[in-house]
Amino acid sequence: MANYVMFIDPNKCTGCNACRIACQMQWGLTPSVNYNHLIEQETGKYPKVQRMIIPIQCQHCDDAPCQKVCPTGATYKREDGIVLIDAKKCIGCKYCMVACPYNARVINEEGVPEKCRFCAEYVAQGETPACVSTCMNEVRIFGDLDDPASPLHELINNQDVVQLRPDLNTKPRIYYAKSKRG
Amino acid sequence: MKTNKYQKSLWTYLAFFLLLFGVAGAINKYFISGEHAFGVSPEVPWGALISGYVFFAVAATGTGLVGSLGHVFHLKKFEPLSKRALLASILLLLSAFLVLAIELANPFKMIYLLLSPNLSSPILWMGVFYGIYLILLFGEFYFTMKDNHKVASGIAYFSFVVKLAAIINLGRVFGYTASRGFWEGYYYPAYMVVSALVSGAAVLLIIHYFSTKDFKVPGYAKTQVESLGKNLSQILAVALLIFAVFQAIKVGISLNAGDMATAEAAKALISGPLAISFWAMEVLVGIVAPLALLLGSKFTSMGKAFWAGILTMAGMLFSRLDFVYAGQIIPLQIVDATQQIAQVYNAYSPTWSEWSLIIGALGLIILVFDYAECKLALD
Amino acid sequence: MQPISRRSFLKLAAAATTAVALPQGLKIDFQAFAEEAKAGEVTKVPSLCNGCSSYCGVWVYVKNGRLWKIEGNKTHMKSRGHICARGHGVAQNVYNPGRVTQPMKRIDDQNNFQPITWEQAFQEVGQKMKALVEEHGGDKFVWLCHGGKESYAQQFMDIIGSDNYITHYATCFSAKTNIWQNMAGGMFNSDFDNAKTMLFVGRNYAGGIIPAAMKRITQAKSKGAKIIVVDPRFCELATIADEWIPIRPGTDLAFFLGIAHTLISEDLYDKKFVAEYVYGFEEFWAHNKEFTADKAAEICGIPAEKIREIARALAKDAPQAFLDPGYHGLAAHYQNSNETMALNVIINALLGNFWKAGGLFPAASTTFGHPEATYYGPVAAKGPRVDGAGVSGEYPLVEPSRGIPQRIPDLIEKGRVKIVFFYSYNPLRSAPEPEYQKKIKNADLVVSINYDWNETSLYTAHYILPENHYLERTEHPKVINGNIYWPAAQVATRFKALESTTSSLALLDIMKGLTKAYGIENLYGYTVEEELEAALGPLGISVEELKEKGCIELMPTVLPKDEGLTFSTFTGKIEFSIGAWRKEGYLGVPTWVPPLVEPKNANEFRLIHGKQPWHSHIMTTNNPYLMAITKEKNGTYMWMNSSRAAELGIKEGDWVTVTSEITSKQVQVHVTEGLHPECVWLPSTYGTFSEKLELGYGQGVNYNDFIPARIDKKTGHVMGQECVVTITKGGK
Repeated sequence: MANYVMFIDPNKCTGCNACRIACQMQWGLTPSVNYNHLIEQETGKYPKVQRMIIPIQCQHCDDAPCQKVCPTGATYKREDGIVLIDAKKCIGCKYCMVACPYNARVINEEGVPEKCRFCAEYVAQGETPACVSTCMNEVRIFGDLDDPASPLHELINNQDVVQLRPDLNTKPRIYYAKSKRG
Repeated sequence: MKTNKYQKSLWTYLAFFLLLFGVAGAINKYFISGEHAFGVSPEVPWGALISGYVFFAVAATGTGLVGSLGHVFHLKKFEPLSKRALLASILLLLSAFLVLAIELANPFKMIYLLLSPNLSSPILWMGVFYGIYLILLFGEFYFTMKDNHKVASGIAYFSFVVKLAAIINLGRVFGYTASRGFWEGYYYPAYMVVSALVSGAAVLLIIHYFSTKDFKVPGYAKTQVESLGKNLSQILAVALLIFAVFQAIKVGISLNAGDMATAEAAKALISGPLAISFWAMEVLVGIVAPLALLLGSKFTSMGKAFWAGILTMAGMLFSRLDFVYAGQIIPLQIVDATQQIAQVYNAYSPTWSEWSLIIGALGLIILVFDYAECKLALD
Repeated sequence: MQPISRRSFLKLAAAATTAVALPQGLKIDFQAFAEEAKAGEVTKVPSLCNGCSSYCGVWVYVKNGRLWKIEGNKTHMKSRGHICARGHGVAQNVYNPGRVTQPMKRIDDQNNFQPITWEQAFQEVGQKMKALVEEHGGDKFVWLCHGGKESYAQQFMDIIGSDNYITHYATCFSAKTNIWQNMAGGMFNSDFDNAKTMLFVGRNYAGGIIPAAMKRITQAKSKGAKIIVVDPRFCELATIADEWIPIRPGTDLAFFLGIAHTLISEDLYDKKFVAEYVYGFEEFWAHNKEFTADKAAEICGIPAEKIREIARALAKDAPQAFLDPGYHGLAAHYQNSNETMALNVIINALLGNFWKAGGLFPAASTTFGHPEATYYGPVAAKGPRVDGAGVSGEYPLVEPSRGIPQRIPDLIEKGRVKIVFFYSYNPLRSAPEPEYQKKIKNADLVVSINYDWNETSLYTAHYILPENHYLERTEHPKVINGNIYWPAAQVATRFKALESTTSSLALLDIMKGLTKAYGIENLYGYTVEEELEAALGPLGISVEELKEKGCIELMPTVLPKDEGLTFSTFTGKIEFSIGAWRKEGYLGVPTWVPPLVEPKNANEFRLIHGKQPWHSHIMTTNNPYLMAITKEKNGTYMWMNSSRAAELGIKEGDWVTVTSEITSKQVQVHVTEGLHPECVWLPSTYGTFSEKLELGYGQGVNYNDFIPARIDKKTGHVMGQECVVTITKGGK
């Protein structure tokens, strides 16, 4: 089995939203169902202004709060690290949505929460997730840690790498480059 | 068994009308607007129906707890209440389940709670405990109606443990979420227990008032009935005071919490978008007014106690609405816990369909209770 | 949703006799998406995105006859494997309910149309055209288009004797193309890969996106390249820049003059390059030696030391340093845009970066073959251009190949224009003064060949002949080049990926039908497949090969060189002094020219505009995916500097009334630190006023609402930011 992680460098993101819509196209989502969000922060005072854009999606946590609270086990974690939803078991209680600290889930027309699935069916065939491949600034890099030649090893073991809400101990599988801006 | 003819009264029509309103809301959800019938969103996934569920479930548990003073704690004084308390618990709990079932997108998949239960999930245990509690309630009610007090008591002991577990676990559903600072921790289990006592006392006061208006309770003297009423009023007053203190401490601690999100949530509650709901409904209507009525009449006026019960329940409903929304009103700090929180609250307001389902459930309870009063010997 | 066959659709549509036929078969059916996505064989067809003039190479994935998704072609030098948000959205527009589904004929003045068959459309339009041409002459025929997309019209216009091929470029960048043509013999493009310092002034590659440019800029940055962004707005490119330097809008010319002055006065410029390859250096310096960085600072607001610092940084890294030639930004904006463009050429020449790695290069190119001529009939002599472009006494300096599109109603009124054809152009929304542009309707015959119910079709067209969506057709090939440096030309085209579910046609088929009905036999006597084959033949590329690879790169022809540089100008050098200008009595070299208008009072602002990264100018406001992003991000809001907003008591989200000399409208405000206080900024996207584009209708406002339609005397541009608005709180 593989061991998938993602590296995101928000210092490169210019907020074009291509990742959001490429994902929607890949999965045939409706316009209001969106797995990718951009958090935008403007800091400073004119003329010394900075802007930081941070792409957010499901972090596929190894200690996922959503998985812990799901009463029927509809949310489950695959061996390769990807957290998936078995819609047939979902009662639509939305406990997972309440428990997720990353606002990763949205509800679909059937009342079942959906979220990024690391393009699970496609990466198994060697493809790259849509949000990764469409990005012109190459903000995201997706890889398999079981592959010794993967550039992800070096990227995530860098000291300038952070994760989201480390205080919650969710053990996310997405690593972010530290912000290089004030 | 009495075989009276059911007399339709004003209550019947009122209850029926309320129920119809609820049906309209359900129709909206299932046939017209689907997910958009309710005001919830990805930012605020739990709304008035979850609050409604908590309201009914806690009221059911509380009524059971206070009612168990008869069968479990053998306080003879409370025994006249037993049948009605059990019936009220059953109806309240069924309403809770009904409201929840409509809130859930796919209630029939609850079969998977049995097939593939996730033992770490507080909601799974909520299903387990309340499921068992409902069965035990039916059992206890049946045997009590059959006047088999030995079996009924036996069930009641077991039921007491189960309902305690259920109410504490219900609090844990909220307390278990580390992502929602306002809910996280040990407070909400305690909140559930205390508010259960408040709700239970209030419900029983209301029932007691209706069933003893003419003091025609066979086997019990007027003084005993009055004394029961007085005790219930005292229990309610004490429970309200404890509840008020608990909530005050909770708000105070939250306001000063190191965690920014928790502090902001508390601020939203007492001076932000939730302020009116909190101060007007939960505090004034739900705590101050009932206490004034009870203390002012020195627990002797059944009429005032009745109104205290009604106001308390109204306040309780808003208390659920308040804390459920408060836990979600502050946008998540996704990046890290020191991230500045945008000065924008996650918007939520219950739609008419959500109100209608809660109101409809109340209508259902009144309707069935009224019918049962006529058809069953509840004294 | 199953695609409906054309025949059954036409039957349905014919049955609808009332005014406007609602599109029957079009609905972006999300259920269908989800279902189709689950099963079915996938075919992959190469095409070119139609979201902007980059025409990024895409791979179109089709499942069960329905579009699934697109991915970028890795070879194509504008996409390099990446597609921006607009690209994804525009592909999905093949299902947009705003499409015109069959030919339409206007029936009244309330913008009601009646659906007609193609046979009837060709017949009526062809005959009416013929009658008008015979009565008034072919030079009264005008073809208004985006430009650069097709050549079919020219063949027809040769026959009827019309020289009026008019493009939209005056609203876009005609100052730039004109000046670069005059001074450097053509456009030159930046080499990001090897540059060490890049200066972007009014160019936002992360808003007006070219994916490959952003990829190469971010890669260069990770290797240590310095990025400086000068812009009144903290644009998307500024997000990754080393420095954002706000500039007083309209004064970029002063900034450039300050840079040039520093380079020359501090002896930092490339003397050898100038001596060998520049004509008119002394003349330029003679007229501008007083314009120091201090003087520049006074005008543009950037501190003199900073101007000098930038000049020195550029010089230090030269020739691996450039001032990006830009695209739309500044090139159609101000009274001084021409001079501003000229300074862009001059600064780069002073850095000596032409034909150097890390500097500027011309586009590589190639030529296609042609199918054999199939028309042997008469051609008419062409009358004079009606728009006066290149015409002595009118606009002699304006490039005739670009034309002047913004004052057609005047020409109609004067009787100089009788027939107007629009192709892939919507001036009612993208040109200034929409109320004035609506008068185009008064021409004798107005035909709109567009794909949706845009404002121009709805308000002015007598006939709408719907072009199909780009995914529904095969086209003749394009040379892939331009805007950014690439050593080799590439060849790519669109292959048909989807069957049309509407009764729309490709342009070639429309032109065939029209010319036949006009009475011209066999003008386009070939199919598009034959045309494609004839085009590729001389290049030694087979159609199958192109379909397999999607984009084929030819041998590199534009590589860095140190010697033997020639420029296609009169002198063979880069001309700082434009001969054509001198001929018309102007100064040949640029000097300081102030903007035409300036805000003065406490509630006056200059209205400026720019691109939003997830919309393509005005053409994507009916797309539900892209508008969902707008909704989430309050994309319609007008930006205002926080200190000015505070003065006027305006807070985030407040409604304000914006009034210019021609109109007054309401819009909500985004309060930001990232904007020069003197201006307010609107995205160029919104203000859709076609009721049939329901999603976009009534959303936001457009800068074109506020400006009168002007024509710059030298290069024909619209001066799109010479606009002062008064802003007051409230109004809604």
